Amino acid sequence: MPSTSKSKRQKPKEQQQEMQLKTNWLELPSDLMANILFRVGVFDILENVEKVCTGWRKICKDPSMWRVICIDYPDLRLIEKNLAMCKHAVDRSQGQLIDITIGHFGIYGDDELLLYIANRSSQLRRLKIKTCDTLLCKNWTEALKKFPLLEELSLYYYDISKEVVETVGCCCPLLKTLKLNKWESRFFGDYVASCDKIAIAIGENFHELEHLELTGNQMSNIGLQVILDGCPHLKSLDLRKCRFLDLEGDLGKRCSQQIKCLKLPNNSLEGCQNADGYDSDLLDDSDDEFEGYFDYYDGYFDDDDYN
Amino acid sequence: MSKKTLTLMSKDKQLFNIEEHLAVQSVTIRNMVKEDGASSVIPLPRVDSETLALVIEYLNRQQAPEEDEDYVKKFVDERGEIPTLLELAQAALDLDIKKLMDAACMKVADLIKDFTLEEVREALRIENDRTPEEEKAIRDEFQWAF
Repeated sequence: MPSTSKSKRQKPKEQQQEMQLKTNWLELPSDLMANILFRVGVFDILENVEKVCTGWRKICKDPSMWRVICIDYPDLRLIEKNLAMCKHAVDRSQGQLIDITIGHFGIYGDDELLLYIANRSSQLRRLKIKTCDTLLCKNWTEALKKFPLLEELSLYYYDISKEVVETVGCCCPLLKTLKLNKWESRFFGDYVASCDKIAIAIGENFHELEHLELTGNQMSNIGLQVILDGCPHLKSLDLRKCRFLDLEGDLGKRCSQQIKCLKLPNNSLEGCQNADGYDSDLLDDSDDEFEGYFDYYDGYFDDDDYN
Repeated sequence: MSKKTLTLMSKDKQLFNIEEHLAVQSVTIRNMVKEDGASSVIPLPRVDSETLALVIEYLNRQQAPEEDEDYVKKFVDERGEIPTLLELAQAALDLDIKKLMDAACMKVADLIKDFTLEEVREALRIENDRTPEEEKAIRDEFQWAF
């Protein structure tokens, strides 16, 4: 085995410089360059990276760079600029957008943004919104009707209405993954009953669902029962922090028989995205986002096992 | 599995030995082995010997699967210079070692992120080749950003 100890750091400086010069980085395969630039993030691409040279600008203009978009606003105060940038990113995808993750949704202008995305992205498969606030968005129903290919809807820290759940069930027949997670209990009105209504709406509308996360949901056994009856294909179910469930009896038994991957109310939140609520950095779980990007990348990276 | 050894040859004609069961983490090599048994030397015309040594070091790692992610990250972190990382990423692309390539690309992206425009150009020895017309076109497109 050749030794790998001859590290570059031990080499004289001139030689090191020579090494830096020997490759013209502009001649790197554009796939590779795109892979790197994509990871820089929407705001840095638009503000910086694409201005480096015409070659990079060309890569950054290619719609395939914008099929997966992950947006976390660097400065929440710049509302108009943030919105303009997001719209610009969506424009660049030229209708090819398949996966979008938005952080700090629900602050300002999101209603407008959601509809903007909906009107231009009929190919969307995954919509992920983090730390968005309650029922402020009036356009949800209208927007969701325009995502007929949606396979995953993930909303974090979000209160959603029964009507929206029904709309999704109706308009997104391919939906396999639904995540409605939050980590903070809110008590107002008859909250358990309203959570049950949502659970019932899920059970009645998502018969093809395979993955469901309802962390922090306050539903009772009634809601869960309808979900188990209505979603026979469910493979994974996350019930962490659902503290109004009583799974000691038959319902608990049924859960563990029916669901392959089950997380119970008292399981630890470890590994849970955004478990800290508002302050988490969206790009921290970047691996997850980028994994998605290359899944969609024309099967370029097929993951057959090594044996 | 028998401990068969393969020989890889870098651009500058240096030879490196590696056990076959480790080498086939590279999809490119795996396909070669499948096709013709790859008994002779496998040439890698775009990978220099220093980069190939790194790749071999990576392929020889003995990590449990659950530690592997951390290992790959640490592995590229320790090679924090952009030219080295780009060479590594390109080699990983040619050899089709996805994890290594993604980690190297991520690291380069992280480094570039903190750079100003000029610093990026300097680090990658890129000249600003945009004409004044193009500069103007960009400014027009991003009026809200100025």
